[in-house]
Amino acid sequence: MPVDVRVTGYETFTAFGAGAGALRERVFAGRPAFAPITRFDTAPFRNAHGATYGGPEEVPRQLETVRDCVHGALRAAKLDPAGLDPARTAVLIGTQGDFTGLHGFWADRAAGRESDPAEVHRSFAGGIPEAIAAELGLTGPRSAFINACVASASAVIHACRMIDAGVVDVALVGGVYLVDEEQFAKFDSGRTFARDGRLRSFAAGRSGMLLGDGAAALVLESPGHALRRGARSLARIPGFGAAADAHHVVQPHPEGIGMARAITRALAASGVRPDAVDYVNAHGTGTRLNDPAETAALRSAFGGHADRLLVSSTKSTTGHMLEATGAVELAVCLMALEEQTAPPTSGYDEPDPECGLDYVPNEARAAQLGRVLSLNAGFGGLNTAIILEQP
Amino acid sequence: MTPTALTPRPRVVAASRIAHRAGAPELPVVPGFVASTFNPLVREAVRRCLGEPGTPSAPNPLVGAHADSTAIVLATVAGDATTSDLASQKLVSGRVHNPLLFFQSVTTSIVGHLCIEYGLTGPVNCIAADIGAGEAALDAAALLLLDDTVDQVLVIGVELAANPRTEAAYAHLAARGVATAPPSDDLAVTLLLRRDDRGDRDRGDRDRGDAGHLAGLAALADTVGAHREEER
Repeated sequence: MPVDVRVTGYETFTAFGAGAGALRERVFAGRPAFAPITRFDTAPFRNAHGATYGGPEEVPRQLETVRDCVHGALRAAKLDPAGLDPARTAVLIGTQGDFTGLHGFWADRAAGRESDPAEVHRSFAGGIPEAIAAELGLTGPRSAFINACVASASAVIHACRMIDAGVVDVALVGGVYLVDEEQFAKFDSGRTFARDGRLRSFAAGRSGMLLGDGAAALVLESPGHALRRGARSLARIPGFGAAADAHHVVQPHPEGIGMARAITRALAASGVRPDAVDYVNAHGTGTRLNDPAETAALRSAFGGHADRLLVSSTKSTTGHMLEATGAVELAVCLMALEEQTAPPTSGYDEPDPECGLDYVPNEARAAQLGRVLSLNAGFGGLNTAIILEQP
Repeated sequence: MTPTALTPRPRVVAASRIAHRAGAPELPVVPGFVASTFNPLVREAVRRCLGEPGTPSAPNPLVGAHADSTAIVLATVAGDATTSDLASQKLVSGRVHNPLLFFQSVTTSIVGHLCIEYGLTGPVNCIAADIGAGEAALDAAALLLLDDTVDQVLVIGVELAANPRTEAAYAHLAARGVATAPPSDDLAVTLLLRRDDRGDRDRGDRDRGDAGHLAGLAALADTVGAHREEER
């Protein structure tokens, strides 16, 4: 059954800075944010690059960053939080928790210092939606989604289910990940980072991913709620899909079976024909395994229409924002609908024969975009697909 | 904590509950997972709930016919704190990271492992909440069961007993009047839920104080022993 969920506002924070304007300018220009990280010492690691905002003197924190995005999204939606029904508004945030709080605890212990319990508590993911809800006086459903790289996409899907079921009228939904030494060290140990300081999705010779700061919040509303308050819908979500590969814990199925299943479920649920999708914001991590698997998934789900799709990975400019990636990339999809332009895949120097689609190389392309699709995948072989269309 | 209009509650088809005390015999090892009880605990709890995974010729009686339509919801407060804290201690002390700690650094890894073992390809949600994680999981399951493509939901509530770091975080919550407490031992509770056409059932209100914030799920699990036998 199709759903009808309206997006009425959004706001982002990325390595390009606070505000959707900064993201829009750089993503559509295809200008990446990758640079040597100064937030912490990268000397012990194989890679020194990432997409971070600011230096060591102004490191953003997860709670404050995504909270600012929520406020920005409410302003963009012209929605006064005082006018929300507290019990019928959800706060769902994709986050693994703020691991700088965790790191600080063990650093304090090693140094024989007492830790601030409030700082340690920042490592609990659930504290972030709880704090945002408390500040806004909201008592409705509030949870963190900790589904790794599909976390905020899963939060959006869950919010759509809640609105469609009539459990809530409004959902403040988003995600946050800010590059930190803890996760950086883990990804380094897994040898996932690009060796050349660039994230070159779908290109020949790509060598891996790079991390990036990201946070985003979206205001989702039932059509009735949006109509009653005269809100302008930026886009409509008619359907979504989620599926597991059941193949490998940390590698995608080489034929993209789970991703194809998620796309097919989204198309079936929304009643959208495959040839009615114009642009795909791909997961496109730039790893050797992900990009051909995702290409295979698009070919499987879209058949011959795959050759006519515009497909890009905006991680090639923002970096991989882990739990935030789904929310930030939905914001990019909203921009694509607004601009009627597909953002490019940056760093696309040379085609990879295993990735044979139109990846909008290096330059944005004006196009008639009626429906767009946002894809994400994560550890555990999890896949999500969310369709956005003109309201 | 999550008031919803979704009643009646789903029907509990099968359930399990495992508490694992520090120093007790180790749970069966999960290949590729190390150091932390979290992942063996989740896997063993699911095995006791669903039974062995089955084979193509003898599929698992509870999920074999529902591979594409079984959703999974995992709920926790602190997640796999042992893995997170071990990795952090290594980093702080300047030791080399173990890539296995990277592979198991998110809860979706063990859920993905279970998807492989049981062949499950439905939607997966892993959620964390400071207040009412178990209730949030039940609400998420009820919501998923409204989806025509979902026949059943495997709910997994899991929490490790407190370690020094999580103890400090729980203490912060307690100081702010939040009653969320960890279980006294590492604990996993699983419930296999389906739509209930027969009205509201026993919500399991009996006291399960040792289960910490998972007491509600644990009590619910304890209501279904006979029913589980009937299904299996």
